Amino acid sequence: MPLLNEQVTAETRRILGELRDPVRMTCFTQPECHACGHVVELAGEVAALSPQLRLDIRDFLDAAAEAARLGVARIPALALAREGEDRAPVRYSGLPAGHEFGAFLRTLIVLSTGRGSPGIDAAAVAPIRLPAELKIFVLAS
Amino acid sequence: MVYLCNSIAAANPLVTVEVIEAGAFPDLVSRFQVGTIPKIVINGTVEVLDIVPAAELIAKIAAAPPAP
Repeated sequence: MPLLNEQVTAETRRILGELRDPVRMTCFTQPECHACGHVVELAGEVAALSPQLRLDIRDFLDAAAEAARLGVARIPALALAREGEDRAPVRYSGLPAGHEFGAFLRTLIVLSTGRGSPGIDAAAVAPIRLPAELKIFVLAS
Repeated sequence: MVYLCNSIAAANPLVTVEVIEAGAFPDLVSRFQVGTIPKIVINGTVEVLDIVPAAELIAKIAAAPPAP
C-alpha cells in the first residue's frame, strides 16, 4: 500500500507542478536499517510525481565518499540538491512525513526555483559570511 | 522554521541544514538536550528555541562561533 493516499498524491502533484529546474534527492540506506524502507518508499512516490525530480538510492557504506561530500552522517537520510550541485544544502535525517511533509515539498520548490520563504534572498542572508551548520529537530507527527 | 532554515540554506551556499526527526534519533536528542520542538542548533553550540523572526535567526547564524 502506498504511503501517500490518493488525495495527498493529487495535492503533491499539484504542488510539484511549481518545480522549474531539476532537483536531485539522494537517499542513503543500509539493508539492516529498518527505518530506511519508508524513506525510500516515500522518496520514490514523490519522485514519481514530477519529471523534475531525480532519485538516487545509495548504500551508506558503499557510497561513503558521496555521503561525506553531501554531509550525510547517519541514516536514513535524504540529501536534497540542485541538479549538478556538489553540496546538499538540505538533508533530512529520518522520514519527512506528517507535519514535515509540506515543508519538505516546499523545500524542493525552493531548491528548484530559488524562491523561498518571504524576504529570504541573497541580500537578506548576506550577513552570514562563515560556514554554518544548522540542525533542526522536528517531530514527524 | 524548517522552511525558513531551508530557504536560508538555499540562498546562501555557506549554510547547510540537517532536519532531524527527533523520534528516530534519541541519541542526538539526548546529546543536544532537545526538550522542545522545534529546536535549532547552530554549529553545535548556539540554540534557538521555538519560532523566531527570520531576521533574528539570520543574525544568530551570522554571529555563531564556528563549529568546534
